Amino acid sequence: MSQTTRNWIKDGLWAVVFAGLVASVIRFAGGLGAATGLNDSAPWGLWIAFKLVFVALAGGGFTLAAMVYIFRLERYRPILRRAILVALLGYGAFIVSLIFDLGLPWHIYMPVLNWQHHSVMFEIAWCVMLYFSVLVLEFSPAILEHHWFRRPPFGMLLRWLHRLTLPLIVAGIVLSTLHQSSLGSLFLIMPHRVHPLWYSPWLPYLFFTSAIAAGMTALIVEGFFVERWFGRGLDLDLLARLGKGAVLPLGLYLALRLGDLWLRGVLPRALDGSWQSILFLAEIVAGGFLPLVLFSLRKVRRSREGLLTGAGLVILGITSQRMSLSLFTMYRAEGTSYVPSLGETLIAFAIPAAAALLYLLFAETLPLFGKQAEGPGNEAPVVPSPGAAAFSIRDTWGRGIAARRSGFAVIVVALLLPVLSLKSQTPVSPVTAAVGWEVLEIDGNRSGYAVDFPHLEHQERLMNESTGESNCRECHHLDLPGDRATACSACHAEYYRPVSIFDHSFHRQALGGNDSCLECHDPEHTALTGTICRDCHEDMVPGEGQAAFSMAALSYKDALHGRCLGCHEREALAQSRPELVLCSTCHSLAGQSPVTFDD
Amino acid sequence: MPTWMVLAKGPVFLFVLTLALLGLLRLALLTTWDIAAAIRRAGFRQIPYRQVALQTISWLVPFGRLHRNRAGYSLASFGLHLSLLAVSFFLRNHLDILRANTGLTWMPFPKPALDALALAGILAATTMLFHRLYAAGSRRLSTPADYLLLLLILGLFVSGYLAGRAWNPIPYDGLMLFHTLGGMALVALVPFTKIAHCVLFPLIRLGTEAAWHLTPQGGSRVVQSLHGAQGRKL
Repeated sequence: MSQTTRNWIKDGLWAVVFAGLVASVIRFAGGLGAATGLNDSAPWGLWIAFKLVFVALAGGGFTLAAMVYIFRLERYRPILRRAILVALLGYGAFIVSLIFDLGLPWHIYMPVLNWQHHSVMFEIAWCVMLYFSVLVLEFSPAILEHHWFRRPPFGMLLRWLHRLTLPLIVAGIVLSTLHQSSLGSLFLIMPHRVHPLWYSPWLPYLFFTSAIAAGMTALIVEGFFVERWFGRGLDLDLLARLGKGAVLPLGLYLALRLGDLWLRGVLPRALDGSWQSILFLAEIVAGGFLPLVLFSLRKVRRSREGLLTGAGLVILGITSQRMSLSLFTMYRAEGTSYVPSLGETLIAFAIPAAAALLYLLFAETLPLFGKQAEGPGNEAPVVPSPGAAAFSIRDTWGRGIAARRSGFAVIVVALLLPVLSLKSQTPVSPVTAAVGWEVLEIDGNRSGYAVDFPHLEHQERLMNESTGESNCRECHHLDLPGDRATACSACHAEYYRPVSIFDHSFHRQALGGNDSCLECHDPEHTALTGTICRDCHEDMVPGEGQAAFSMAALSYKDALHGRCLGCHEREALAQSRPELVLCSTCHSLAGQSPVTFDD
Repeated sequence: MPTWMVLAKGPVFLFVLTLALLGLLRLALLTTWDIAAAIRRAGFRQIPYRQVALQTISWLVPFGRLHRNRAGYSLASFGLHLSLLAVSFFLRNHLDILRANTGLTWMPFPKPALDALALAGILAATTMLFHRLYAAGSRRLSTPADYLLLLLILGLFVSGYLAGRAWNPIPYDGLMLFHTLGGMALVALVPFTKIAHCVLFPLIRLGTEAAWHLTPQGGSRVVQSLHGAQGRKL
């Protein structure tokens, strides 16, 4: 692969990371509602699905560690450090993704303080925290062997880490075994949401076995990547053995999954012709049985194409299993839907993009390849990998890259910030006027849950006893020119947002074009020097204590709640009837009579 | 809401503003990087920072220098800078737009003063344009971008000034649409054109100062590199 191609790939990854950073600002500044398509009926979305995939692909770390240190399969040692790096980045991506997904991300430390022994989440949180720490310790020797750290304190630390290797490896295997399976347990508590073809009481075992298979095949793909990117020779024999090794967990996973469906009598649904059944069949056949056959055939397994195809299919199959379970086929309430927002999607892809860049940084800087990475006790001089010089920012090459990537960053941020900000604003929502007269049916946002407002009854109640006239202005606080008792929706025309009731273009045209500016704006032509409406429209007189024109009318929702609640609160106090301020007083359910002042 | 107002208060303005600010920040950082590299390569540790700062300030307020060379042009240039900055950043209408987009605002200048400055800006931009066109030396140095930028600034001054006048013969919304689009184009162009000197000016002076100081004995080393350790008579 040429340097230019590598640079372009890195530029692309950086662009995705920058885009994700912009979306992150919106996410943390405006909350989940501002940045995602998640809602009460779809609280789990793209981020959860991606998290489950990250963890599955990270399964190679504990698998290889067990193979090398427990089963003494020394031939896999040359790729152990890379396997741990992939696991570290996979779990890192999981944790970062979790921070985005938590409603109160600053509470992420809570499981450390508040122990909820019966919660699956509690177990996952602890296992992920501990296993990530273990992975950091496992990978630290690779960093400490860099020539930057060839000083006494680091040397001592390195020796200690080498001594701790075996306990750390054992801890890592135990912890990841626990939590890979408990991720599957999460779905056991919501069988009503999971499609029957993906639900299984054996989900913990399915998650565990599939993580082993996905982790091993991810390392095969990584081997091919290293060959292309770094120009290192491909150890086909080693990777083929890894493929052969993946047959066992993959076969076990398929047997458990299909066996459970068959035993519970759900398997016939795989042939019912629904899109879920087609997805299931594709997942099982193309992502399960086909690679199982490919890996079982020695000739195919030992060919580059066969090995890579098999590994790719396993990853696709397990990705499909995890995403179908948590996203595609999950049941949602009738009439609701979930479509990931742009910001949510950008963040979802920015996290693995950042992980990929970190992988490249480590792989180009640290001794991950060759004999120097083989294990503890090897103190051979570190030979920097070919790309090591690329991270020296002092040379012209570094400056050129910085200039190009910062240019990308500026354009991506500038393009996305306004686009993503739009999502955080309340959408334009014109109001539907109330219908009727004696009883007004108020349903401004056409939700179908109308408030039946006893208009005539209120008119009579607000009657001035001395004059015999009703005080319409109590509610109709400002009339439009030439109108009387102007409807609320005429000025409060947006359901969620305040809007201006003043038509500037109309007035300027009506008053004679540009010559008319000074008729309303004196001495400056600014929004703040505008004449108030009643100076010209004598009938636009506000009611007593009511606002005149103040640039913008409140949103319909706020205006109506404000207008009604003012009186209701007063009357609730005066009559000692707190029920008058209950929501159900006006928003009564069908078949129930609303509470009135006279009840 | 008229189209120009939708544009001014909408995401397009936020885009150009972000592009300009981040673009300038990027340029400033890269220029600082280059200057740091130049200073490091020169091995010269006694950069006269105070002198550079004083010189920069003296060029920002160049009353003592205006008369020295091409007095008319220098005066027009200074007037254009002053009026452009004052009108852009201290007109209440502009601040209203800024507040609508970002929530930021500050004290505006009085409108009559800004009107006078706008007229000064129109005069200055016209003078500079004619100078570029008719002074042979300036014409040789000028690029199409120089003319286009000056024309854009002149157009913005004229349209902005007319928009506030009752006798303006041009339809208001059309004029404001031109003014808004032109203003946003100018903001977007800041990091890509010579207008970037609004941020780079002090840095460039520092860079120039650093670049003039070669490593001690640097000349001899160049000769050695080119002609071997023995050197030869030049």
